Amino acid sequence: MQNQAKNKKTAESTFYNHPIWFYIRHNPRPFVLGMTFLIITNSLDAVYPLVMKTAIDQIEGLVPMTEITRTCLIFLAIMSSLALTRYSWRTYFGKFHTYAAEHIRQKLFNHLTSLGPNFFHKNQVGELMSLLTNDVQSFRQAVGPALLVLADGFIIILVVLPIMISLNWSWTWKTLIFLPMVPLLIWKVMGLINKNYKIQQEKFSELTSLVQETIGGIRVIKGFSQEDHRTAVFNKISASFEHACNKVAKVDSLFMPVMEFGVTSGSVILLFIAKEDLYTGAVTIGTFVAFHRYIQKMVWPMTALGMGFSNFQKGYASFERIKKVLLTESDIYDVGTTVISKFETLEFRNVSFKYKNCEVYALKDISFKLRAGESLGIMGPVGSGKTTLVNLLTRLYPLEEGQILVNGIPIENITLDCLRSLFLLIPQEAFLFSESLKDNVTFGLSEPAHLDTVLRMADVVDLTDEINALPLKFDSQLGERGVNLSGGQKQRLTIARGLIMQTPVLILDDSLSAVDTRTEKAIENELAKTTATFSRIIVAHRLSSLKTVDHLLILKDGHKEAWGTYEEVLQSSPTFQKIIHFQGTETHSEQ
Amino acid sequence: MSSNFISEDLVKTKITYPLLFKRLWPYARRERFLLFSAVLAVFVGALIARIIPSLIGYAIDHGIKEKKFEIFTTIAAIYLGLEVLKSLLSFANTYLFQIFGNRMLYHLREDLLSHTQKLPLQFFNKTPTGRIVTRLTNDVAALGELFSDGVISVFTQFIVICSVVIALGLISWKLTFISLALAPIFITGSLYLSNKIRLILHEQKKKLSVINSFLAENLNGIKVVQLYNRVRKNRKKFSALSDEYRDTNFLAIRTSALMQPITNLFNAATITSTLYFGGMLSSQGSLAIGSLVAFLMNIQDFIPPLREILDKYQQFQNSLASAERIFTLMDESIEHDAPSLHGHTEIKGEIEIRNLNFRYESHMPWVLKNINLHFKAGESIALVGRTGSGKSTFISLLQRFYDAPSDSILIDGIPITSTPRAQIRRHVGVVQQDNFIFKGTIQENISLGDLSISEERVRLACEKTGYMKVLERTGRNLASLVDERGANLSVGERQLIAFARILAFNPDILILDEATANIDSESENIIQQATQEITKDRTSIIIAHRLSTIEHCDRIVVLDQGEVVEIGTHAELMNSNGIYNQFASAGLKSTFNEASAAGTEAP
Repeated sequence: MQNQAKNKKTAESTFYNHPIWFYIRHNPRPFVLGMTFLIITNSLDAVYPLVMKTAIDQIEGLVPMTEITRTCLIFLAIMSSLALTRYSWRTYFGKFHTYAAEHIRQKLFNHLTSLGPNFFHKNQVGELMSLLTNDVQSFRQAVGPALLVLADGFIIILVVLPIMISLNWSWTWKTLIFLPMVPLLIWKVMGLINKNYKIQQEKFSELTSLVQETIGGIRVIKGFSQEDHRTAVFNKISASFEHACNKVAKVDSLFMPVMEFGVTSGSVILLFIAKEDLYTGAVTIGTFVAFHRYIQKMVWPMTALGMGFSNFQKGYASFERIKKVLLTESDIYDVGTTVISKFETLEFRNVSFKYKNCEVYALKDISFKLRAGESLGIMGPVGSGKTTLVNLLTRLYPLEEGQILVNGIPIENITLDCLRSLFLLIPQEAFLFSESLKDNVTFGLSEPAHLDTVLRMADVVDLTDEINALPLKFDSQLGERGVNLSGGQKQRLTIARGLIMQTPVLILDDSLSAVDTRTEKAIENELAKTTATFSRIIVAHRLSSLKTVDHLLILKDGHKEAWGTYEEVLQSSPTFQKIIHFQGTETHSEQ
Repeated sequence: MSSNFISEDLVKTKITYPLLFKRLWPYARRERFLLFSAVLAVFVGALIARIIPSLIGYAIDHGIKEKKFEIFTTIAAIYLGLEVLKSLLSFANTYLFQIFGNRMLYHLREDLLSHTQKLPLQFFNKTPTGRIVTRLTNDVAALGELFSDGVISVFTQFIVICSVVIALGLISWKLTFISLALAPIFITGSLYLSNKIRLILHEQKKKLSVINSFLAENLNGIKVVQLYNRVRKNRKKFSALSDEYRDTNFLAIRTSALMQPITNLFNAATITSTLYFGGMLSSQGSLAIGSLVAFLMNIQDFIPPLREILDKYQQFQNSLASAERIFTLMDESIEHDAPSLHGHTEIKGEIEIRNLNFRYESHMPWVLKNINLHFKAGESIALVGRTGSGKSTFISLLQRFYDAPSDSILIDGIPITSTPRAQIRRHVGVVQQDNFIFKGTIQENISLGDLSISEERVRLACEKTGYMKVLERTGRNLASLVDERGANLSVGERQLIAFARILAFNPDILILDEATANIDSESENIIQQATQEITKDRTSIIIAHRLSTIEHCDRIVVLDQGEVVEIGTHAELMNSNGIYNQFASAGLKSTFNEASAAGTEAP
């Protein structure tokens, strides 16, 4: 057991310190096979100009056709084997890096889903998405293509260089003298490309947000006849985007000439130095042609070194970013072991809470007790701590001062799964997934629900008619390609999603604001139908939502201003009196 | 090249290459000079690339074999010059083509945006914003890639191939024929394969976008996922998606890797046959050894460009869909104005509605039925009615966002259909419930960047609405920055900016859709005063939700199910015991708009 844990720990540290080694260890077969085939490929590839040289020399030497035929057959055999080995190394390496990329992507996702809102406030979803897509991609480039290209480059150099030296030592060093400059130049050019590409991307997102604004605000633009002006503003950004693209194009176009610089310099030098050897007959024409071919062959490894190194750098930077997120520990520890089967009491004991990087307490010294079956209404102005209170209860944020006890047990000691199956919070913002309406309603259920249950829930939140008007009814998909619901419809759907769960305590955080009084009544009835031990906590602004609760908690600036029944609170809370005054007409008209 | 290798169901686009070129040609023509220079660079580059092997062949045949020492040095010098020139041209052609392409895209984007802005409002109601944005950004970029990566390189490589074949033929047409005999088989095989690859890549792209939207959704909705105990289930779901993507990815790599052996085998066949038959020809004395070397060098330049074309070919197909989407947007018909409309700069603001009937589409029910109204210049009118009674439609018609039947709406006695849209909208200003706020400064948001509106005028507008005081109190000024969609402004402030906009633009007729959302009582007070300020001295129509606003108006029009049911002053209507009386005594807000009655705070 302990040994296993230790192994796991060493594996983790290998992952963070030597990710490539980690993946080789975990997936050795494709890596080793890929490497082997790469070496064979490069060796064969290096040999074939030699065979070509033999053939040319034979032709020039006017040897019998049978010998030429034999050489040709050898040539054919080598080329065919090359076909096979080239295919093999690509395939094996492909397996290696696709495995690594998805492994790290899954690891990231699993980790992200264990982090609380504190993390997501600091890191915007857009940035995390870029981590999960762009950074994973450039990491893959590093462990896959870049590693491969580097290996390829080194192997070719190791194979070709000795052959060239054996053909002619003095030609070799003279023709290759400028070649080491190629990787350096390529690396520089790649750096320039990456830098400029990044600028281009930034300009592109600028362009996108301008278009987004233009389309979003089209009514205002049209209403004030500002179309032409808008186009002018757009053109300015569009032109700067074009400028950025042109810059990328410029450095991009440098790539080929830089690469060719190697061959060119080598070939030209060869022509200048070869004449004497050829003249004296010390070297054959076949050797000359083969040598020329080898110079060409050296260009790729040189380019490869520059390219591979640059991509490696990029991948390393990406890995560092990924690592940073993976090493962020969740502030919500799920170490509790207690499982509660029946909810009896909930108690807040001197709970105070401050948000990170915030001086002021969002909640200060809150205490109250709620028994199963009782309902609680929470009211107070914006920023009085209502949402904070319910967030702490569901452990979205870690509790730092005071205690929240369920059946007398601190919530940290209860497993997170259990806690969240006791308390279900329906948040303010109506977030739905691009699945079918039915899947959205049954989102939290571990077993698929009967359609009748779904229909009944839709009825409670008064969505039946609206959903039946859709062509696919409950199978209608939400999202980009699906149906568009109004804000109110969405919110009612999230309420149905919560109701169907039948959790012992249902918490509605201002979710009833988009619901009319009639539907509110229906929801209330639905909640009353379930057993008497079920509770609800309602955060609301509208008095009508809170008329039937057992207790009212009035919050102001994080403090408990009042606690009690409607009448009690009316006596003691100035905030509540103000609300009553403000909403007076409304309540009267409803009564 | 050949469309018969692609079965019909695979190509989902209706657009064809000739059509694509026909539509892009007007843009290309605008940059003729760039295009011409780039094409020239391609041709000269290809020519030079073919001279080099012959030069080396010549060096072998004449320099080495005939032992002419001096020729060799000259040739080396020429070679150096040619190589430098070749590199320069290679740079020039890629660069020129790209800047040409970028210029084209710039023009295309400009046209697209100005076209899109002219589309009727209905188009924007029907089409999700994201989709339109994609047309103008990603699709244009895809078209650009199609152009720079596809069209240009296919063109360039095609020229290279032609030059290689010509060079080969010049050395020995017999040998050319023999060594390239297998080319058709190679091309057929590769096309077949590249089509396979295209399908897999398409699949791969689709799977990636599924992954990405899954990720985006789960991160955005992380709270819901955690609260509903769905973390484990969604991790499993993601693992499945990711594994699936990995497999497709791997399949793509494996299939693309097949391209290698095919090329290698073709390479082997051509070089071997060249060596064998070249050797035979050489032994017969009909081919010099230098020419054979030149031939060998040339033939090795035949395959890379061919492969490149085949590679790009599949990219082409996928980008064509983007092109089609762009052209579809381009073909949406815009709001058109009759050509010979006469505007009139000064109007008094008298509105007459005669027998107005309106519905959005012929198969839909009537939204407004037989409306007859007459508003005097300078009068203020409160428009009252339930959600869906036709209030919003009515104001959209006044601004010509939709066209009412001609002669049914007249301003100063002239039908609005005979006045250009831009002019009508100058005369009729609207303040909506939720006013769009742009990223930029407060001043820019009020003037909307219109240069004819001076800073002085903006300042005055802010002072009149009381917004200036709010700014001063919070330590800001007109140059203060506003976030996207006005995220850093309160609801009340957004309202005040919209009011200031109206004062700055100073329309003769004002339409105000009163906000239903509650704001704190102080802002409420400022807004009440600002409302009076902006309605002063101009015809104003207010869709009112608050009793206090209605009471200030000269007359009240009550709409119900698209019809005018009551009209008169507050006192008259209260006495008549009709719908208005019920509304007013029940407390307007909650009855009129029960569903959207928010609490005491803005959400």
